[in-house]
Amino acid sequence: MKIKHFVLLSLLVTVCSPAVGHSYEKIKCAGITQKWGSNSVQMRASGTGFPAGPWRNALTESINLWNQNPSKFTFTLSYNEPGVGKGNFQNEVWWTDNLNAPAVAYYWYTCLTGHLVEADVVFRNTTPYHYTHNKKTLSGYGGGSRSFQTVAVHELGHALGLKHVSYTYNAMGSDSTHMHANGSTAYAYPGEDASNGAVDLYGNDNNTNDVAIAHWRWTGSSGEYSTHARTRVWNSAGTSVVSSFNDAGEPRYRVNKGQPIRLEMSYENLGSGCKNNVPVKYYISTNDLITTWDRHIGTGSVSVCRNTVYTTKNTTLTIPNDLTSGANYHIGAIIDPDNAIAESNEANNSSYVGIRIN
Amino acid sequence: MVREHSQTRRAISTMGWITALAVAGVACFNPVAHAHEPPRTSLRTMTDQAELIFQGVVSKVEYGMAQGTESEEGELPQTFVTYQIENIEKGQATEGKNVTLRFLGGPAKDGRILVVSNSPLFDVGERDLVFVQSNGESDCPLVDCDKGRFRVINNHMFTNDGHEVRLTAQGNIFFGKQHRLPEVMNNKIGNLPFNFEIDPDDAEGAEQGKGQYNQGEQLRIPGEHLNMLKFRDRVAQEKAKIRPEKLAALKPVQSMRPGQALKLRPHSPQAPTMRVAPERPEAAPLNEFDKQEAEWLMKNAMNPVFKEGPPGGLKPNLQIKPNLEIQRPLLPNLKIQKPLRVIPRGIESGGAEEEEILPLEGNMLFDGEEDPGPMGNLQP
Repeated sequence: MKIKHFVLLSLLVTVCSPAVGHSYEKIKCAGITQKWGSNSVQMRASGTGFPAGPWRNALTESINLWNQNPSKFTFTLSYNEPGVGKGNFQNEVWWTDNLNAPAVAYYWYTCLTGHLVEADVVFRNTTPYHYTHNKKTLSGYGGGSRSFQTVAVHELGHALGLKHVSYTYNAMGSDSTHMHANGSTAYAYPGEDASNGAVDLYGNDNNTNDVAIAHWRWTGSSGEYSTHARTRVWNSAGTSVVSSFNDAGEPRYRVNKGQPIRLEMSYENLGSGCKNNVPVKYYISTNDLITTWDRHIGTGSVSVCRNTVYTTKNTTLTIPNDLTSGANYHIGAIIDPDNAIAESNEANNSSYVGIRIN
Repeated sequence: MVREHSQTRRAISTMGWITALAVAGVACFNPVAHAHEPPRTSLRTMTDQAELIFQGVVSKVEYGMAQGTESEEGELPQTFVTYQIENIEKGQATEGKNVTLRFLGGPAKDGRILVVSNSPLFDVGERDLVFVQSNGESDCPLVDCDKGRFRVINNHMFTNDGHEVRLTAQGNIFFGKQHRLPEVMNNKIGNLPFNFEIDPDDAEGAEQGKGQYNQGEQLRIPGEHLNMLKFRDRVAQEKAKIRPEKLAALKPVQSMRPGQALKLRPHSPQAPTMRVAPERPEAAPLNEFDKQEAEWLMKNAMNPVFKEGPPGGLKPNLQIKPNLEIQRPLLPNLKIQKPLRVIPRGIESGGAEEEEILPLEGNMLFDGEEDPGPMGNLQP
């Protein structure tokens, strides 16, 4: 077989294979995968840009979000770096007004050893960033500010050795719509696919349990970046999305009392190993905060491995008959509702979708 | 140091790859199609901002060093990409049929390689349509950096990373399916191959064939995959909307050469600024159940699974008034659960108060369409 034909056949086989489970990209130089030579890398925050205060706290939070990932890789962070610059063999984080993007990562390789040797992260201070967790301030939820933490998690992903990703729900894609929200707060996180990339590069710590729910899903791509939209309410057959409207920056779905529906959510495994048949309980809530105090309306389960985000509407639910017509409620889901899994982060186990009763 | 390389790879013709992908797309049933998304910066904006728009072929890639702008920077590697211009859509180049663009990044004298996260990589022989801006001043002299480079492969348009550039019946540009073409995945920096690779076999936790997205959902890909001429026509349409005096004021783009003095603007460290940011309107006040629920969540370290029920037999009042949106006030910041591996270097103090939020500037729209926002296209 000619090489050309073999390659084309291989490509066909690849494209025809079942759903691709892993989608992060690695960088190879001279045939060698490029990553840090050590599993612990120190970042240095500019004293000018990150004095004690909320921006420093937000950067620290972003570092810690990565350090909760199930790989052996960790960042450390030092403060008050007096001077910064590219190519000085130090990994620095600073702000400037001269960038052609909201943030940029500059990384240096020594290709023949396969090592990243420096990564600098620079933020543009003319971008309307905010460090808040208050979702109504953030662009993904109808506000006007860009979450500093989602961008920092994205850029730190580059610093760890990950590339942009466009083909799955991912922090290395459109970061501003890659958040976990329950109630009035929204938090950045690296997510399943980027965590999987970190494990692939640096090994599994075999010591992290974390399952999660997000009300975001992958929709496509814009350039190198994945694009995301909110999860939806479907009809009972799962064949069409029920009608909806924009309610102050978030979607709200119109449903009838007694109507069977399916709630779409994205389920993630941010831990070291697979979790099979994890219970998921569904609730009706008078507000967008979903807890076990809310009215339980159904139970399902999901099996989640750390490979690709599982967006599904696999459980049929019925809207209770005793709700008020014309009123707003939220349908929510809680994964691991009995706390059976001892998780590194229990705060990302629930999220919501808004509804209005016809 | 100046280096030059020629492109000797790509034993497989581009036509072969395109054909294979097309056949594969027809032959395989895959319930998950790629959705469409508009570019982040509209073609109108890109055309307006560009000082030079041309179609050309990369004829030379050279490298050099230039002094960095920061106190701790020495010389930084630079890449000089020379295009042989085939067609100019807007503006002029001082050298007529050739232009050399300077990018930050490339091989350094000590063997290290500098890569910038949003900067494209170029190889000799690649045909592109590029939107040039601030050559010799910007680290990436393209409009919106990598977004300002469109590849022409087999006479069809792709983004820098291989997404189809598509045009809807309404004349809007969208990015479609991504193709892992050799032009995208395989590059050279200096004399070293620099490749991007998906490595599914290395990943742990392989799943048992479970669907990754909603099974059965077919996402529509609108419009047609643009060929080069139609894309150039589309650019010409946008150029026609630019005021003539603005076009007349354009200065020819000067080529940059290794060793030539650059007018680089520094990336000097600065303080963050809090800019204009409207918030969503505040909603109705809380009832007692909602208040208690929020307080218990705080006490429970944000874990939504409460071991106890509501105090005093409190129950959610599901008989709420119509059209009343119920929300709670801002919760304090979540304490970091694992305060890990932070090395304080200097004197620290507690967190500062939240700063005042100022009004926001206007949003950018996509190619004449209203931004559907993060919710996607909601049904009426």
